[in-house]
Amino acid sequence: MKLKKWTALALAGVLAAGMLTGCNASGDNGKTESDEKVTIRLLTRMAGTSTQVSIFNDVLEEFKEKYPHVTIIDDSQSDEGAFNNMLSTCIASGDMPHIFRIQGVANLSDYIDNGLLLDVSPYLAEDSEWGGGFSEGSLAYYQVPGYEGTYAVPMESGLIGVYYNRELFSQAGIETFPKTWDELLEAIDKLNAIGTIPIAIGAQSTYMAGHLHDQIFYKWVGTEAAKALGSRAMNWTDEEVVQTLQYVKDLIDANAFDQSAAGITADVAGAQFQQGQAAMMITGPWSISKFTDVEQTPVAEHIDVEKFPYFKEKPEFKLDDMQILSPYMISGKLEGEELELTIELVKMLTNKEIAKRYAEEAAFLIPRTDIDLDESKCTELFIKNMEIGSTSKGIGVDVFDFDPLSSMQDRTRNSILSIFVNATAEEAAAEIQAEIDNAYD
Amino acid sequence: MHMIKLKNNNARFFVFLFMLPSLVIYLLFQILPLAGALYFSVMDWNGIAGSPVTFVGGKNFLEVFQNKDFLIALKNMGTMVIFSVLFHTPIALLTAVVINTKCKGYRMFKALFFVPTVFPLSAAGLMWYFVFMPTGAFNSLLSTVGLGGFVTPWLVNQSTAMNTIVFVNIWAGIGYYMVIILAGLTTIPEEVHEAAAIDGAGIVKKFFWLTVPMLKSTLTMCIVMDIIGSVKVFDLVFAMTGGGPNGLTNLPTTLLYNETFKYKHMGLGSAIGVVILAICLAGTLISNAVVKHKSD
Amino acid sequence: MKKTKIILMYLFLFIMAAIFAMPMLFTLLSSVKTKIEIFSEPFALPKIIQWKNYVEAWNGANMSRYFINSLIQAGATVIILVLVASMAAYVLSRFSFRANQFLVIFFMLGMMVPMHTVIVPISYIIGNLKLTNNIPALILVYVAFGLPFSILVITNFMRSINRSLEEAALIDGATYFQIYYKIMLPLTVPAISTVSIFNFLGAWNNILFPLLFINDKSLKPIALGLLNFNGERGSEYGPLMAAIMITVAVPMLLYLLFQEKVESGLAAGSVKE
Repeated sequence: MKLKKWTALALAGVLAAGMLTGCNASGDNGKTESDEKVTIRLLTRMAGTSTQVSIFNDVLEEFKEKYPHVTIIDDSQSDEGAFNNMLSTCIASGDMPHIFRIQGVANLSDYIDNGLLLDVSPYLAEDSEWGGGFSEGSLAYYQVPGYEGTYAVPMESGLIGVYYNRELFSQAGIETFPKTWDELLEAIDKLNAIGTIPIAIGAQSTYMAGHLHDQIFYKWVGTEAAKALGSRAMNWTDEEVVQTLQYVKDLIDANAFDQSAAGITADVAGAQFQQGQAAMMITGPWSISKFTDVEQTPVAEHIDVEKFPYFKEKPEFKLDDMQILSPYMISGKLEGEELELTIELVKMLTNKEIAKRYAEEAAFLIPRTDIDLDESKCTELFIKNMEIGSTSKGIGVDVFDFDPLSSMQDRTRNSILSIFVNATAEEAAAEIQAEIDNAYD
Repeated sequence: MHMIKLKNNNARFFVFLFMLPSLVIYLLFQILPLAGALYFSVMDWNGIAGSPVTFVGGKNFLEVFQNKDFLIALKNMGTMVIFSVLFHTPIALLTAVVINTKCKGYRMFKALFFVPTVFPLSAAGLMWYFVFMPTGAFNSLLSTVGLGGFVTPWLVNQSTAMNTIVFVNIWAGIGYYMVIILAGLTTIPEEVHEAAAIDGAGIVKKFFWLTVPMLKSTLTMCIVMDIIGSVKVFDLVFAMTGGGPNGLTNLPTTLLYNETFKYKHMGLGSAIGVVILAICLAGTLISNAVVKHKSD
Repeated sequence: MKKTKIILMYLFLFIMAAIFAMPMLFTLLSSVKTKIEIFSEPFALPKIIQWKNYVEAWNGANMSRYFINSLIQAGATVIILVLVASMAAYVLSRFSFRANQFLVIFFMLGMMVPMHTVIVPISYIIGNLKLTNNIPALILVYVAFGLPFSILVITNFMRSINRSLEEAALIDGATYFQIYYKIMLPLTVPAISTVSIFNFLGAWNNILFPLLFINDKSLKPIALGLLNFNGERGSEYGPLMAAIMITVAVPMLLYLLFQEKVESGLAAGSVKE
């Protein structure tokens, strides 16, 4: 008995001591300038088992070897929910990681005001070999209206298209991939006739519902309209915008998706496509390395990609495409050696050489115009994706990116999801508009 | 009973020393946050460190009650509470009575019924998620036995989603109340049963006119605990649907979490927190009153 | 009892048992099947038992890490809680002083406060004091919320202990401290074990506070880690089921080993006012 009690007391004592040092330890992260040791913390989406992540990790290793006195803490998360949670906590405490990302553009003003984001334009200008290689469009995306400067380094780009299974298409008697909306509806009918799920969608992972709508939106009202919505020149309840939501409903009514799409996650939908149970899937270049790996995707040899169909009534938006554009943002609170090293790391992650590796090995595209690509090393699917992506005139990421309200990401996606569960397009539009109206009370 | 009086400084110091750790931890980590919750519920803050925290009085509460999602959450909470109570206590009572007969294998049954209550609700939720998901075991079962017409995405269909979650909550809680009632049953002396048997009372009669009245305080206790417990459910919804789709299955607790973490509406979130607190407080006070009233 | 009554009773029991066991059985079976088997024959036995699901869950999905974290977090909570609560309980049950009544009620108040109410202020505190990933702080929060119940149970129990031993010890010149750990603690073991099990389970099963405190994947407790696994690799059903089994293994084991303690603890918490 006695021994047990003393052990317990001792443990408690140790824990108390641990708490005191614990408080200091987490406060020390990246704040020590006088110490020899520097810590760099990353919070990105580069986590998981894909090839692009292993290249990412290789760069981190290389960096560690080059600078042995630097400790790298990689908190990166592949799950969007976990990532958002972590980011929220960091923002709430002001304890930002050194390298991170926030989605959206118009909502960055709050963060810039609080000094959380570094303006990278001087560094881009200074190192022209690195800075000059990024595409104009990608840099322009991170220039926030009302502020001077560029607030992120672009690190991922690529067309979000419709990946489809040629074999299933030919079984259904579809000769070419539908170019227009009407042709798409026809194709859906034919695919349903042979018992295949036309389009795999895991609407429960709301981003998939969002992406579907994004595609339709850009083809019906163009990419500039997203900016108009954000600046309140347009409203979600305007007729043309409601029409974009109506098209989502039309697809659902045409049985384009699994009956239970609202209850399926992206993971499961992906599995459906990869196993050959679904004929199409809207996704981006991040899936390419999975789709070309026969072990993960038994139907790999049949997969091809095309742009989302356009509306014949709106040929002017034929080349308005949805692309992915992802950033590395740097904390605005860094100084001295920490700042230098962090920028160096970002350079290593986004320079010409690593871009070549990413493209050739992982089908991952950094938006640089100076990549010396050896096409023979890339998969066909990746090259096709790049080809069709290069013809885009207007580019949009997510429609809500230009909305200054950070809650719009969830709001729009959830309302679109509700269409899968019987809401009407008008109801969804009203719901989204209400969020905007309420915020300006 | 005779208690020690604090006659000297030695005693006083001892009392102080021994109470100190509890008090410090309690004050710092529960009372202070509680005060903070009340504070934040009348403030406006966007969740970014360094951003201003401004006083807005009752505005958050007004917003809360006008918020469509909150009203849905409140309704869901009502559903959760009513159905949980409706099913928990009667089924737990029945089960307890049956187990109390110490029939063959009663120990096994008791363990089986109780085990779900010790599971983390997140794991229980996940377990049932795989049963109820569109391609899950339940739909498979339905198809196999020819009831394929009933196949539906249970957790997403407007009419079934919340009820499904409530069902899981009921499943996870029955054992808990069963055990409490069992404890209460053992306080009913054998002689009472025997006396009733001698008087020729049948089993059903015995049950309603004898057992139930004697368990009144236990049953009341169960119902009240159930009410408060149902209000606090979070893990289950979080694991199964996250409150979706589109807020359909939100409870005030999950809404609070979403508002705070996803949308950064700190003031609104705190207000919801205070509302939940008020409901729990009301529940506890009413329970105390009822129990005091009922103790003969 | 009449035959029909017995049949009815067993019918009831078996139906209940079926509903209760169904998900657990399904999860158990699925945890050793391949993904295809899980879907094509959900209720059949696996052709070959896929132990590798467990290996994948334990190593690949980090369940081992989460398991240890939970052990540490729940264990530390219980140790500190028992210590601190028993100290307070001894004072409250034995010494008369003006604040005694007030303190008892003060602690009781805590039982009415749901954890959710304090989400915002705790996030704020975590942010401002840089307590993210600070496990000791998390543990102290668990302790704080566990204090009301624990103090209640232990104080009540101590009140019912016969004072003759203590009075004798006092006469012999023992200090209060010695009485506490030589007499009170050993005698209070039943209440302490009840409180321990209760709070251990509470901490093991909690996801709310870890959600607020912990970002670092390697520090997550198992109940939360499980959800993480589902979020990241939710279509790997085999390992996922194995992970669920691992998560519920400890609570289940605890219950099966300490059945009476757990059940009497419930009764203690509810019946005693």
